[in-house]
Amino acid sequence: MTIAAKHQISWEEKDNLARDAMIAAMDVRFELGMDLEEPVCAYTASNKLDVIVRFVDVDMEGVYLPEESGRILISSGRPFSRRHFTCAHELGHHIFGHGATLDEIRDEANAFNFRHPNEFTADAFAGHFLMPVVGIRNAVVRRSIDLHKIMPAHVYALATEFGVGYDAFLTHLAFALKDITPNQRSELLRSRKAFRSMFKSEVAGAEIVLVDSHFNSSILDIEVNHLIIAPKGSVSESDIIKPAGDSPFGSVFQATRRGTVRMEIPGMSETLTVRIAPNRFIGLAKFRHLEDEE
Amino acid sequence: MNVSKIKFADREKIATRVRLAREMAGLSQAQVAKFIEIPRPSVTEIESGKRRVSADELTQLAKLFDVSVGWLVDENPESVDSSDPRIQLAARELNQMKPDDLDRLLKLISAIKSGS
Repeated sequence: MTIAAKHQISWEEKDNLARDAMIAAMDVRFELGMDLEEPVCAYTASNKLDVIVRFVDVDMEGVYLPEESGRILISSGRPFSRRHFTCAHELGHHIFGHGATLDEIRDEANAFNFRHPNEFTADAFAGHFLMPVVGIRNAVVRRSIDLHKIMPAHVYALATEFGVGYDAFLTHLAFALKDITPNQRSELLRSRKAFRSMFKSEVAGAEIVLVDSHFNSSILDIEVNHLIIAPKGSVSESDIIKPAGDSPFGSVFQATRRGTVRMEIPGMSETLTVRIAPNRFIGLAKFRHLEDEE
Repeated sequence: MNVSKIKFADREKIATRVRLAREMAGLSQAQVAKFIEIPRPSVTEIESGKRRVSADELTQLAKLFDVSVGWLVDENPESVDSSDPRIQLAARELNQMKPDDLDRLLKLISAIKSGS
């Protein structure tokens, strides 16, 4: 029996795809009236591009449907920050006009050794869309971080600002931007556990977001039970976000229910709006932080 | 789809689809009532098959839930055929999906897809 040779993307092909993805990510930011520095919410961006995003009870990462103006389906069961990255990934498929029949997808999956080039492109798009190089480097400079000595608290603050997970941020910093070494990345991944252990939560595995005085967004998206670490003196306007103790990195708050609340953060020039979705929300993304009606 | 030409399936089928679509949209009955400006008990009655839904309300509900009117009135099939060449998508792990999950995905696509 002869086994057909499987195609593998070459380094040169990867470089070309990554460059195209980066240019497309910049173009979409400009189309949305954004600069190359500010953090972006992939759900809001999709909505502005008439792409409807829905969280579904299906065990997968996500799917893009070119139906009408475009639909993105994301598994509600994946970790919070991963869902956001998946939305940006699926938006990449929309921007590049990807789409095939189910039979074609199955055939192509068997023809490629690791990932289909479209998947590589969508991943690169998501990385550059959510974490533009200019934005990341300015965020590092604003905080006077020496990248040779970057600590877990810095990574949490930067990942929170750009709406991505700790791991995804480190991977982008090490492999896409090459601003830290792979060894630094591995070390920071290992030291994450020790950092997390400093914060007690009644909810096992509750995600931690760290808002510092350099936070460069007026909106923060979280889920019920998430812990917010904010500078001492931060105040929430309602008990949707309630104080939950102190830590070496600031006051700790916890989100108690779905809704939208404003917070005053010392050092931030504008009020922070915190949008809280239910855990593992199933539904249209635009409704995720709608307050419950009595 | 021309809503005025819809042959209404029995109310119970529509009621079931409206409730399912609302849950898939992540909305409570009270939130739906507020969006389409009808009293909250009317939404409960629609979902229990005790109240007729007007064509205008069906259009509003379909838009709110992002499903097709044809699916709400039970004219679209429950699921799409996975070999249908009109079904286009980008899905990275289709080959790894469990049959139950693929089945749920195809049913969702049927609800979302326009009835043309």
